[in-house]
Amino acid sequence: MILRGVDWRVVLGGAALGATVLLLCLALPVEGLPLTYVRLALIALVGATAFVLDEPAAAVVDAVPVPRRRRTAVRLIATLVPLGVWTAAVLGLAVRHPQTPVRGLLVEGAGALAVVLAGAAVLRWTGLREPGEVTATFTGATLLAFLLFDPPPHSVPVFPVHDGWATSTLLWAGLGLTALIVVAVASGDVERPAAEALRRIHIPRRRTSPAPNGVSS
Amino acid sequence: MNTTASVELTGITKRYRGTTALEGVDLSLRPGITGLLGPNGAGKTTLLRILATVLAPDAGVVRLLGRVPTSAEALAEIRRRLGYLPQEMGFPRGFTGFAFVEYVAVLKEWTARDSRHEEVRRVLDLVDLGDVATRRVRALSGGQRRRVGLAQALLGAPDLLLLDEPTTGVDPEQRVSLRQVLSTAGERSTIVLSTHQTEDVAALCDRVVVLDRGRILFDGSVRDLVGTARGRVWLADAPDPQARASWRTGTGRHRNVGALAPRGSEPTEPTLEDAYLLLLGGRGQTTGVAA
Amino acid sequence: MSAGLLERPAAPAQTLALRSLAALEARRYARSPLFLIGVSLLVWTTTVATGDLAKNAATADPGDLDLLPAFCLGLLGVFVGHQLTRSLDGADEALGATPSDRVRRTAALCLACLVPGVVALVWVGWMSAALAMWRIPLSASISSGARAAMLLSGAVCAVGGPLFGVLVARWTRFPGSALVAVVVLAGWTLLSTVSLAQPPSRSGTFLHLSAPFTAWVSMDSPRSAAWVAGGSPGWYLAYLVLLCGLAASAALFPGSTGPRRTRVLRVLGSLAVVAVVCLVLAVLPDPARIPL
Repeated sequence: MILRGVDWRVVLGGAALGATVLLLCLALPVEGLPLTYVRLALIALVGATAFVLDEPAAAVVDAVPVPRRRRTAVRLIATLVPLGVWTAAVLGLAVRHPQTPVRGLLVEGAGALAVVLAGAAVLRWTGLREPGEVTATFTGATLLAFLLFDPPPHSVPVFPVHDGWATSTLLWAGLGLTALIVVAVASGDVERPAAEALRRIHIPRRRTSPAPNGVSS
Repeated sequence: MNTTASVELTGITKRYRGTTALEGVDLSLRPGITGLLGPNGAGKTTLLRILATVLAPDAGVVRLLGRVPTSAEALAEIRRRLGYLPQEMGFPRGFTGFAFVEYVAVLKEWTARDSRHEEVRRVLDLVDLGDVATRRVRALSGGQRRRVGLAQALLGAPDLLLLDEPTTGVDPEQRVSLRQVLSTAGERSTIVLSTHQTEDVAALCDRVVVLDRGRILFDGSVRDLVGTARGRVWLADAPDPQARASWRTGTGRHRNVGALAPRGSEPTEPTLEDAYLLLLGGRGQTTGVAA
Repeated sequence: MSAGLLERPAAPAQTLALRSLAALEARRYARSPLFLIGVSLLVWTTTVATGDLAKNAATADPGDLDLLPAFCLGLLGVFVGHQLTRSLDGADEALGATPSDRVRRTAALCLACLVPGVVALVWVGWMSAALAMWRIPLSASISSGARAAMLLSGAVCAVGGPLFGVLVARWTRFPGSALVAVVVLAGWTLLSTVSLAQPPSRSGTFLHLSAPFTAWVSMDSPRSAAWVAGGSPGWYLAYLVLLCGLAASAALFPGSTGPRRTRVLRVLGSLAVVAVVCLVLAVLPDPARIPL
């Protein structure tokens, strides 16, 4: 039921765009691995993932018994769509181009999706009920900048082409794990200071029998 | 007071994909405040949108402020003298109350910066938002946001002012303050006030129009409508099964609204709400009509 | 009228009203966080690029510097134009009841897209001065006119990107359409460079120059010498300007009615024809590549 709250139109649409670009990469008659186009498709998949945590009815839903963390965990199932598209495409590329760094690309894709989820989770935690548009814009623009410019420091290859795959894989794995922790932390329920304060108040229990010294409570 | 009709609607019909929102509505309004009542889905918002020129009818003739809004020039001329507060209104992120009202002022062709700022300050003060004008709209309460919406509608003291649920979320003190603003404006402008708050209509309006299922059920003075309920509202210690509507009041007595107060019962002075309920006649859910 | 009410201004000329609205939108554009990030990125990348140039002054040709404003202000500007246009959707009903109809509001947004263009022109001026100041040896393979056209095309892209964002926001309703537009734009541009990996030909030049942005300098492999692709940078610049006009006109189309709609359609048609002519003229020169 919770998955029905995901805007599937956007998630599937973005995944379809990414899949189209990846299919073109598989079909393109190029000699080398068309990594730039593959990463362009990843940006589309990242955009689709950004909307997974959008919850327009958050004002109502935050007051239901199912905590936000559990709702988020269920919503993350929707991420399997763009992740699945990415995985299938990377494996397809490996068949077409045996030199494809499969592990590196898989970790890169998963890491990028995790990072955008973390961005959306943080924005949602600050009170933005539908962080998808903003997260997609900033994450997409940042990844595009890295893709087109390859800015320094060049010792940290974000999108390696020939060398630096080991470092890049480590980088994306670290970013991905950190991002998942951020998602978990930022998905906590809204603060309930009143409840917290209540727990600290000692409420004396009503006695049903006289106190040992004979005085009733 | 100018007695020329500001609004003349003849045979207005509007349908949404087979659903009839308005059916052959005739209406003539002069300067003053007219309340627009009706159940959900009666066609009130559709009527207001047609008056605001943001929606065209499927049939009928619309004449606003002496012009027929068929040409671009006529539309622009009407809109220069019109203020509209829609039922739902979103605000762009990052705008303060002042910035948003100023933006609308620019759209209303207030090109001179100084006079524009003066006018924006004036309308924000009118709705008691002068102190929070520099705060982001998203940081304001629901009632304050509604007042920002009202402020932009009041820009330029429009000759035709259309307000759809203007007091939603507004606290009682502010509602009284807004009544003062509107009653002053109603001395020279034509104001149409669509609301579910019958007490606002009773307090402000000299005229009331009741819509139901796209048709006008009643068009007349508030006093006449209330008069139809005289002798049909009574108090009792228990709900009367003969009553059309009955509820327990804060005093513990039951207020009954029905066809006729039974002999020996304790009749009480009817309100506009009682008359409205009797007019609608306990018809239950209305179906097939858009708002 | 009660005391304190101001006289409502007389109906101003349409141009005056449009000018006021455009000024307001331009201020909104200039304050947009993504635009400011784009400007910072432009300054930073230009500093790095010109630093490298100054270090390798004896050997390097500046090549495709126009990529910098095209991305930083143009591609990022797609998001800005889109966001500015969509930001007022929630108040659309109230705004629709004002004398400034949707077409005028869109025209004002299009005019606001000149803000990144002005920044890009300043950048062009600065780059030209910097190249002269550091006495960077410019390859004789690129004439001064062609080089100026290449630099200016970056400035035109800085305007075209935001205009495209306005167009997409007016024509589409779905969330994330800005990112889709950027991906499509980037993909189209990258695809156009496929022809650079093929032997030179007029059809290859056509594919290369049909994109809304292109690189002129490339090389066959990382170790081989750089060359300039065939085609006319001057006519390509004209083509880009016309693409901007097409984007603005297409953005004005939704909401226009009656004679105005007919006018917009006529302008669209005329611009499209002239754009195709300019593209053909850009492709006509010798497609052979010239070593730098």
